[in-house]
Amino acid sequence: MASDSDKKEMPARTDKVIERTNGALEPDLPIEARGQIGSQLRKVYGDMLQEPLPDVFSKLLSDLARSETEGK
Amino acid sequence: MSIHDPLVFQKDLAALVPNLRAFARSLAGGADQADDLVQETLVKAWKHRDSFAEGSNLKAWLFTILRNVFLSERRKRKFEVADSDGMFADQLSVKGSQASRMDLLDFQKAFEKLPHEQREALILIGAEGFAYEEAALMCGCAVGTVKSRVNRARAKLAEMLGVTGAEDYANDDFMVRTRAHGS
Repeated sequence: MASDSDKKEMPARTDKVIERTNGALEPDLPIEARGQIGSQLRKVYGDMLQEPLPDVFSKLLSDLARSETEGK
Repeated sequence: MSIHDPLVFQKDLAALVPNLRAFARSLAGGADQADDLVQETLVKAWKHRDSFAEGSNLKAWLFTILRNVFLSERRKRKFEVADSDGMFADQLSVKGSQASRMDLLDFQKAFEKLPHEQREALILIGAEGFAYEEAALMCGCAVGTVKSRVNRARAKLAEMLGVTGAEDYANDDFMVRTRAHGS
């Protein structure tokens, strides 16, 4: 009888099936969907990495380094 | 030259501040809170630099410190979870972005609806490219847990953003069922 059509599509459309958790197989997203999510995520993250840094960080680091070499 | 040389360590830390900021924003939400988190992390890292094993992954070590600071501050209720500022609020006017403004807004909103464990896992694996085993060590959980969080995060994002072909794969236990389009 028609069994495959009743169930969710499994490995044929995905490139990976993760191991069992909570007793159920969790198929990964189809690769196209994962690709879209991933590239949006990396685009936004990458843009953030390019941001100019506020001075506070380099100042903090040089203060920390200076307190090592001076004093004591 | 030893990494424990102050000037070398200072330089190595400085190079990773952008990554720390980005990771902090995904955890803490607001830009100011995130920057505070990074500063606390740098101070802690400096204080404990002798415990950093030379040759091991400095970024992973720093991310772990940042994560622990975030969790302990959260326990003290210093940080709100995903406030209205938004993780990527400053990113909406990026130059040369091919994504439309609406796409980035939708993505930001959808991302913030994820629980912080899923946001963290997605950043570590999907954005920073850590191995699952590394991410599991950093988060103090099993590899399977990281994989599960990443997959659930992707599925929820895909469903919220209306990504084609993802509907069949979405979990039922969404925290918020919203559609990004038309909102």
